[in-house]
Amino acid sequence: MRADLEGFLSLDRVVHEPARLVILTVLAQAEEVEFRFLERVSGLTKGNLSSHISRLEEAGYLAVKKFFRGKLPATSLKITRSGRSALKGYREQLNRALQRRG
Amino acid sequence: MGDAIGEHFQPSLKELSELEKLTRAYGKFSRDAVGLGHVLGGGLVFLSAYLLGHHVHLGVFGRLLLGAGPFAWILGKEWLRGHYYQFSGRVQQPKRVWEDVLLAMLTGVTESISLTTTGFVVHGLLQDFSWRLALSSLVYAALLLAMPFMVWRYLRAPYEFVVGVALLALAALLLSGSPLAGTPRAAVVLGFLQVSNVVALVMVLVGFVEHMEFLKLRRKMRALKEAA
Repeated sequence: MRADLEGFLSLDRVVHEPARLVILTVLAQAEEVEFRFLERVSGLTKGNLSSHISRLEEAGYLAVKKFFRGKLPATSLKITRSGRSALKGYREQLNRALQRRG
Repeated sequence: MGDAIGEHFQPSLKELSELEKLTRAYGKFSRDAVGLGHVLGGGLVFLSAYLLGHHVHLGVFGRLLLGAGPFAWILGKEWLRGHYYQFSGRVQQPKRVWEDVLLAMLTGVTESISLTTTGFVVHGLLQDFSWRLALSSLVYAALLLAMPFMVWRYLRAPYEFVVGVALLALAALLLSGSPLAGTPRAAVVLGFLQVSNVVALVMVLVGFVEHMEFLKLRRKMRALKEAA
C-alpha cells in the first residue's frame, strides 16, 4: 500500500469524523464546556451532537457531567487525558500523512 | 464546514484554529475578563475615593450604601459573567499552572496587610479609648479581616484582585468614618486615595476594551448560528 494512503487509513476514526473533531477541538481549549456552547459553535442539532458525545464518551475521550442550575438541567463536558492525547496524535499523524502526500 | 484537510467535507485547519480562538476568547469571560464589571468596579472605586478625599458628609444610610459597594460589585460581576458574557452556556477557562501559586501569594499578602493594619487600629484604640471610636474601629477591622477570604473566594483574577481590594479598603474607611483621619497616618490614606484614582481609570479602560472584544465575539457567534 502507498505510504501516504496508509497514513490516512490509519487515522483514529473516532477523532477523524468532522463533528467529533470539532467537539474535541473546542473541549481542548477549556477546562469545561457546556452543551449549549457546543451546540452553538458546531451548528449541530441536539440529537446529532448527543450521539457524537456518546461515541466520544464510550471511547473515553470525554467525561459528561449532568447537573441542575436552579431548576434547569444542564450538561457539562470535559476532555479527558486520553482524549487530549488522541487529538494531539491525530493531528500529528494527519500532518505527517499530508507531508508525505506533498 | 469548509474545504479540506484530506477530504472536502473535513473542517479545514484554518477553521479549527478559528474555533480554538473563539473558544478561548469566550472562556476568558469565565475568569480573567468581566468587561462592564471592571468598568463598574472602576467607577465605584473613583466615587468612593472622591467622597473620602473631599470629606463629603454622608449620613448613616449613605455610608452603608457605599460600604456595601464591594459586595454589590462582586454580585454584579458574577451575574454579568453567568448571564451576559457567557450567554451561550458556560465555558471554563483552563487553569494555568501559576494561578494557584499567585492566588496563595495574593491571599497571604492581603492577610498580612490586614492583620498589621488591624493591629495598628487596636493599638490606637487602646491608647485613646472611646466608645464611638471603638464602634468605627470594629467595623473597620471586620472589613479588613474579611479581605483575605474575599480575595481567596471571589477575587481570583489579577484585575479583580486590584479592584476588589481597593473597594474593600475604601469601604472600610467609608463605613468607619476613617479612624485614621487627623492622625499622622492620614497621609497614608491620602496616598491610597491617589492610587485608587489611577486604579479606577485603568479598570474603566480595561473593562471597556474587554467589552468591545466581547461585542465582536458575540457578532461572530451570531453569524455562526445564522450560518447553521
